[in-house]
Amino acid sequence: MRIETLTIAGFRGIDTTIEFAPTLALVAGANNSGKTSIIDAIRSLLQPFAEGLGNRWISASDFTRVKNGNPIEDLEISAVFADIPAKHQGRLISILAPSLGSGYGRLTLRSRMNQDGRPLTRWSGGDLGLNDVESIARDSIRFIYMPALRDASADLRPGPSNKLANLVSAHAPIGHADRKKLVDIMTAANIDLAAVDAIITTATSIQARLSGMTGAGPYAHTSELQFTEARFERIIASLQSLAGSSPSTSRLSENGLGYNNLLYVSVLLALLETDSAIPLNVLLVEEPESHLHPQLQSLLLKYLQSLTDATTQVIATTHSPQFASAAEVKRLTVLRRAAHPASTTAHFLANAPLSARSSNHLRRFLDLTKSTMLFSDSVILVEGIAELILFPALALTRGISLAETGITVVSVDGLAFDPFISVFENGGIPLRCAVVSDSDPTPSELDENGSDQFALPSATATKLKGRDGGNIRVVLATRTFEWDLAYVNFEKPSVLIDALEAIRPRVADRLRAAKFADASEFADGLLDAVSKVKGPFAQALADSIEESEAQIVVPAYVMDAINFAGDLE
Amino acid sequence: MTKPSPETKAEFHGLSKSQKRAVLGGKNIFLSACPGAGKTTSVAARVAAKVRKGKRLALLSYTNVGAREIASATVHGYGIALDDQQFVGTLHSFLFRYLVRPFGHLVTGADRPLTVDNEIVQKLFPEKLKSDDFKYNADRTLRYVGKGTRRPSDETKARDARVRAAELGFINHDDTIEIALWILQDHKEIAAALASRFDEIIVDEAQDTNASTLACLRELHDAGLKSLVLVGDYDQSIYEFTGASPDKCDALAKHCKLKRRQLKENFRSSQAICNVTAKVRGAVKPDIAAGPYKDLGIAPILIRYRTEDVSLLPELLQKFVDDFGLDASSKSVLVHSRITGEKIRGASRPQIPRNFAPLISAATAANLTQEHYRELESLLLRRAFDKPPTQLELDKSKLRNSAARLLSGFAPFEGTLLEWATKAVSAVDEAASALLVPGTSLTGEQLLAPPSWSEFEASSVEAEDQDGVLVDTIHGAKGMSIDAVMLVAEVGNSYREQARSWASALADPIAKIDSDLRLGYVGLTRARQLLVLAVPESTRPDVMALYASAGFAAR
Repeated sequence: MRIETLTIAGFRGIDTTIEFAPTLALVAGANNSGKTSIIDAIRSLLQPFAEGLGNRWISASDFTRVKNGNPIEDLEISAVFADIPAKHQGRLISILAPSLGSGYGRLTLRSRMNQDGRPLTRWSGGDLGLNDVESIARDSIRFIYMPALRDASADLRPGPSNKLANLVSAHAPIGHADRKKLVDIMTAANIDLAAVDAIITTATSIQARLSGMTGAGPYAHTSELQFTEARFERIIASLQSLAGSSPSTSRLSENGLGYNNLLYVSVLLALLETDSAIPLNVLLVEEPESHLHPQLQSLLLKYLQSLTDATTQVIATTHSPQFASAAEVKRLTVLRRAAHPASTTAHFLANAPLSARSSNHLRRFLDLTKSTMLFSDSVILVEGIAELILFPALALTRGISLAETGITVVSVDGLAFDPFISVFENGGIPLRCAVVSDSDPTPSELDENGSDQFALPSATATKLKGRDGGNIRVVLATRTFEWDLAYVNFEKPSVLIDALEAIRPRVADRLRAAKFADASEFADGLLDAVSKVKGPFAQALADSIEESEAQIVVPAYVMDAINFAGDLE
Repeated sequence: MTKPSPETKAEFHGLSKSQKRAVLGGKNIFLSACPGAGKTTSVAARVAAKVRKGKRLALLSYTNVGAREIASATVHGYGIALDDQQFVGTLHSFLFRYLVRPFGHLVTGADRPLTVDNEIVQKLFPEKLKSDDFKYNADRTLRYVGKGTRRPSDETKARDARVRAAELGFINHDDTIEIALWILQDHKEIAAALASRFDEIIVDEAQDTNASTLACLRELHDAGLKSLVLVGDYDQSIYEFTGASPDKCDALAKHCKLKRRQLKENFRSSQAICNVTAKVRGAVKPDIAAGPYKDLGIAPILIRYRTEDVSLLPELLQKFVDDFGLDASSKSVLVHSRITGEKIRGASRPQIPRNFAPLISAATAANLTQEHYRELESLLLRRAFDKPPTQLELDKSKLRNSAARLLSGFAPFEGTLLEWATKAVSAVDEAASALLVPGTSLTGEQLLAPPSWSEFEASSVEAEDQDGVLVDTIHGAKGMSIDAVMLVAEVGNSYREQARSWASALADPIAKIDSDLRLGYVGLTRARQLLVLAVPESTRPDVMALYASAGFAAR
């Protein structure tokens, strides 16, 4: 059983439906895109695994959307559950929603702000969302919440909130022989302890002072020294996990926060699997990447992706490109809060028109830097490092800050644009996406004898142009980025040649001295000069544009891409 | 597994050995209980044992009383409170709660949960046709059950109107069970879900269950219900006029391969009474008397009465009680028809309109129960709003507070009924007003006390007879134990001569017991110490002789 979708109407200004992947769903989004609100919505809708583990009640501040200048009165949070196994449909009968299909259910929370400022919250279920929900049904779907900044060691240390105690209890239910065994061990230990001279002396000296204070009258009190009271509940609450690199395990306080978090997740997952009577446990994890270094992030994600327990669903939020980049694309739900309309929208990448092959491509190539596109407001996809470095600098000369406009330039590093574009097409993330490519044929597209076909755009470029439309704008350089840059700066070429000077001084000198018949000839010359050093050249040029505010003409197609992505047209 | 643990056994010390054997353990049982078998306590023991093991039970009965009595015996007898993992209530409310309300739209095409509202359904009916005159057949067509004449096209019109009403979300009370059955038949996944919601469904008063309800139980059994327990006594089936069907109940028991277990000990009547009632019923061995009066040897008495002297019967019963020197705290004259009851009582009783029933019930109750609160709450809602508020518009704690305030401010139940009712009506209005959004007024149904209530003392509703002899109907006394009973056989236009039909098994012991005889049997088996059968003076000597042969002592 799993949550398939969550529909939110009005809660903290959100009006959207969020789809989740089974077993492990990753919700990625920039800050303020609504990740925490979605976790909080689920916490409000469902029951916690145990009292105190993240209960949340609808409060006045959840009714924040302003409509016609008035705060809203009603809000609704509704989850659709899929794959409810037949054996659990009885306990969940009050939320079954047969109209959605076999094994489907729906649970809806409605809350209304009363005149006295208190929200009145009701749960209902079923097809029509109006059936009274039985407590047996609500008790069957539980969540465990792990907030972003937590001190995992506190929950694993001896004490009343010790999660280990729950786990041990689950493995030794009332009547289990191990309970007595534990009590016996502790009783024997306490007896032995009481026979140690140092303990006797200490206890006596404490008692002497205590009696001195209370007197022997009605306030008299006795003290004792023990490991812990020999009762099952006390014993298991006093257990602590030791973790570290074997053979010498270390105390929690000696571990980093990161490892303690891993230990905590392990305890929770083990705890969830102990109760087979519960059809669904939702583990809500905010920013699992916190406190974990990149390699551990990948390992944790890999482990979570390998889970197959049909009664556990992990829903994790992340704003870490590292975490997102390690995930299977089909598990990702991307949240955006666009300026217009000013509301969160959710985009389940399993719905993007990606073939299995493109999906695999994307997974392989969606590395740390490329996955930033999932967190941006708009994207310019470029061929390589030169565009990546120079686009922000060129935009700045026209008074446009790409960062402030929310445009992320992503280089596909010479790979095919196809799978990346699909992410933004219908069904995917509805971002404005400009694709900047060359018209140059690649060597494989040249005739065997290498004849010149520059007059026409390459076949790849033509095919790419076909993706133009909707959110996608494909712009093509006349030939290649450097060539086009040189072409438009033919009249005042010094900015380009100065930049080249820093890398290839002699070539720069030669270019400065040369006479070119026309812009095209100059562009050929420059392209030839930088073809092996495109990266360093771009770096040097960006430096001189930013530092010396050198004048440079920006090719029209570049502006076209920037204006489209930033919606500045 | 199903064997009760020693600990459990010990705790049910209130039960006799044979009761324990019959009710504890096992599954898929037909438990037949003789009158006075301590059925309620016995079944309560089963319920307690199951719930203690963490089982989920549905405890159902035809009337609200049966299941609730068992639930309350479970609490009081065994300290087990039934929580909302269990369901206790009528079969009707069970099917409505778990099938019709959540899933009714699947078979009716409504876009909202179905509501039972006979009045609205009637409004959607063509003129001159009465919605209640048409009932569903098993094939989902309608049949005419009214008394007038009808045209062949009426059924089509009635069906169209019924379908239209259902599409709009309104159904007749009786349709609930039919719609539940359709859901079970058409949506096997839902049937399986409901069958697995409960570990066991216990149906009390199973003999009073009608054919469609039995069909629902059958569907649930076929959908994988782990255990079905039917509790009842065919001999006590007196609801055939509502469609109850002992034969179909038997067929269900056979279909589900229910194991027959019997409660044969009668903890109510003396052996002398058991012996006679067994003969009247015919072809059965007498119940084994096991109660406190088992050895009280007073033979049942047969008397003849003159129809014009019926009002003397209570006095006569009291005289018998005195003559035998019995310590009888409950004494009843039982009759079939209300009209004869009025005649015996010598005064008519006030008619109580629907809306006043919960008020009077709360005002006269010795102990208030959850049920009183629930009924008053729904009364307050009906008074406050013409349209029922939605879940979100309704603050349940506010409603409960209003009901509590109403109860605490109740005028003492004295003076004339009208005086009391006038005070009660204004108290209801005040409590209902507290539910309203400020600035709005009461839009619900107004309570109107019948003017004729000025002629009745409030106390006339409570205790009826000064000397403690009650006059009640047989249906009203069902399930009760009464120290001294006088059963009155009537002669009337609408039914056969009862003295004769109640003697039918005495004339022919292997004849099938019919509904008339069952009614008499229920009346006779209420008695603990003293049983008097009063037959009309016109009763023929051959019938008198039959009763004498059964062991009645004529006076």
